[in-house]
Amino acid sequence: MRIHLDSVEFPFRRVSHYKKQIRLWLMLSPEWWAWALSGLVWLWLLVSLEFGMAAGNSMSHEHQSMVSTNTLSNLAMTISGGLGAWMLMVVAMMFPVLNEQIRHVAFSVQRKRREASIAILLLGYTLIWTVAGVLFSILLPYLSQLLADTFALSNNLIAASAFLLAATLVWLPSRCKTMTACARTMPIRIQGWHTYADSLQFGAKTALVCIRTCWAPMVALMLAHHDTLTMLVVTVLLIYQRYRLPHQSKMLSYAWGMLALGFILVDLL
Amino acid sequence: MRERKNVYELPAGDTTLEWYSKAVVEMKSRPTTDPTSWNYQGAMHGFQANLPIWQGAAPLPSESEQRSYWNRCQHGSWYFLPWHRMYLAYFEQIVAQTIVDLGGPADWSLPFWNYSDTTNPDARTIPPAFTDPANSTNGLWISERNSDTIPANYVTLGALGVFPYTGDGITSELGFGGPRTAFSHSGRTHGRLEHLPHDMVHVAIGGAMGDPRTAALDPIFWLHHANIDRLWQVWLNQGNRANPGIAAWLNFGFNFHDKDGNVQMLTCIEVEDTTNLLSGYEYQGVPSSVPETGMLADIEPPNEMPLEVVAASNVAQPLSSKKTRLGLGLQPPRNKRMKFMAAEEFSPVPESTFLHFENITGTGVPPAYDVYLNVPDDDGGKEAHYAGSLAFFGVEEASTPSDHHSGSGQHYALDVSELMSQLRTLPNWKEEQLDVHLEPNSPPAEDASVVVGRISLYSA
Repeated sequence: MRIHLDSVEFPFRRVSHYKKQIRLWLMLSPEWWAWALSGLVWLWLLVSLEFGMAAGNSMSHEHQSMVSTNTLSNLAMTISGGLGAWMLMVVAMMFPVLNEQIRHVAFSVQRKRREASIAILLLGYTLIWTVAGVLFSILLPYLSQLLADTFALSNNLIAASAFLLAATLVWLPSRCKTMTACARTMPIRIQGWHTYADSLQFGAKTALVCIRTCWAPMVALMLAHHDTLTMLVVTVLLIYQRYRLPHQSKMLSYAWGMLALGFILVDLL
Repeated sequence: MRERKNVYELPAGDTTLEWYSKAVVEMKSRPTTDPTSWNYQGAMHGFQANLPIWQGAAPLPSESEQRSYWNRCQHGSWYFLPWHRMYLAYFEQIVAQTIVDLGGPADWSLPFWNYSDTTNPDARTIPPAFTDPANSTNGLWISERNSDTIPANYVTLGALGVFPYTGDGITSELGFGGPRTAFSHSGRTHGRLEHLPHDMVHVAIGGAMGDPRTAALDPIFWLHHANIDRLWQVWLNQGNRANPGIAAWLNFGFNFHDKDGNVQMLTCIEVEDTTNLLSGYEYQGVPSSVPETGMLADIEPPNEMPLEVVAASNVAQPLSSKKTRLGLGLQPPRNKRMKFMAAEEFSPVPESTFLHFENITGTGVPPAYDVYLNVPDDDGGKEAHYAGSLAFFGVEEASTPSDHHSGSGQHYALDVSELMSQLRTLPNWKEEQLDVHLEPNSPPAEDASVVVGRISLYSA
């Protein structure tokens, strides 16, 4: 009796098939490792929250100190202490909204330079957010103090005010234009170091657009002392907005409004 | 159910165009604030207050209403076909109601202009009713047209031979219907049908038709798009082809105004079957049937590796008013070098190769540019080196940051697989460089300019 090899399913063939499918998926989804980085940060935050240590609490405490610092001598220490937490926040919350930019770079460059180019894009993006983080950490303590002194607002009510501001900004006529700008691309050269220079520039430009679009909820989060669960909710909303909502949608305004209401209720209780 | 007829095959004594003309005149007399007016319908496709053709359109609807319903046309997106189908359906309903109100027939339907009909020597010329008489007594005539005839190579139907609906020519083959996008889609590759013949016809006629912000003010626009809509059905009827079967496409909705001026929303899944769209319609000679979505390969993940860039320009390239020549340094990775070596014979099954024009920005309404590869220095036998043409339809709009565009410009791709295979057999083939030549089809207007951000070659 003859056996046709094609009709026999060897286990290694199945393994080989799955390997090929995984390789294909990774090739077609270059954004996977930005999501993986974000996932790792989230895992760390959630595990830390569960065990009541470091991460979430440390982020919260660091930023609590950031917003309560008054003296110049403590400022540098506050910034450096809070900056790590801020950068983790950027990785956790903002990397998942960069699919389009990562794919643009990944498919614009030669395959051998793909991963390095994506890494440099993310570096440029994070650097600009870091500058913003420094500015926020310098300005917000004074703003927070001003609100507390002038209107006798608690931290919860200050956070609620910031989320209400975010909700209001969604209704600005210029909002559509800034949302549309999130889809901006630029030509990426493939000649040697130009590839990396363009990736860096594209990352920085993207960050500037993102800051323009998302500064209000991020500031609200800082004023809310980076409460991990609030961060998670805001991240889910930002991802939903980026990939599921038409750029003219006002739905996010209601979501920010609900968060503001949540902080007001917490304060009242 | 209505039948949309071929405008060149309307029987003698048919009054379809006569009533269309009367309806256009009537709709033009309505204020721009009326959603059933000619101006409002045109502005839903595109509007720019400072363009001369829009002077006199005031009073306009509120800013908020304009933001909600105007400038909504979908280009460089997989929503291109369904959005325009919805747009046409409500426009046809409004015109038909206007005709009834004027005392005309109750069964008026929008005709289509089949400019690709090679059996009709007049097919590529705008139907006479739209050009004669050439004065304001003719509702179908407008002065803002540059040409009444379209070159033959701008109406070819290679798009019908493409199988997948979705694809951008980078991560997969270039699709019939355009790349997958969100609503905000600025700067993505134009799909095969959208590029040719759709964009090419717009730009070949030029004038109002050459710019999305004014195109729908020309009565011929609607017959052109009826033909594009018909070609979508022709493509489906060939078999082994399907619309996207995923929720992101099927359930995406757009707002329009019906004949009573009320806002209505339609989703893509609701317009797949034309016989169920509003009062239903079919195209003359084209049976309407929709393959069951979810059955065909289009919705499955592609089973091939994405294409890879093998050459790209390193500076933005302004296109001149005469010829623009550019050398692309070929840098294929080791595993692709064989595909770019000189060959003895033409390969009957060439590798997929696409020439991309990315981040195209510009001003005004530039002419179409014809693209040639490796043209000999003396321009001899240039036609054998023809790669395709670029339309730049809506380039100024795509270059300007706005509520609907990021300002990144346009993206076109030409399938050069067969041409590359042929060029490799020619004596002037150079393994290290590909020469790209671009020539305007007609002299550019003074205010028109185009800059191509990057020209790149992608290979499977």
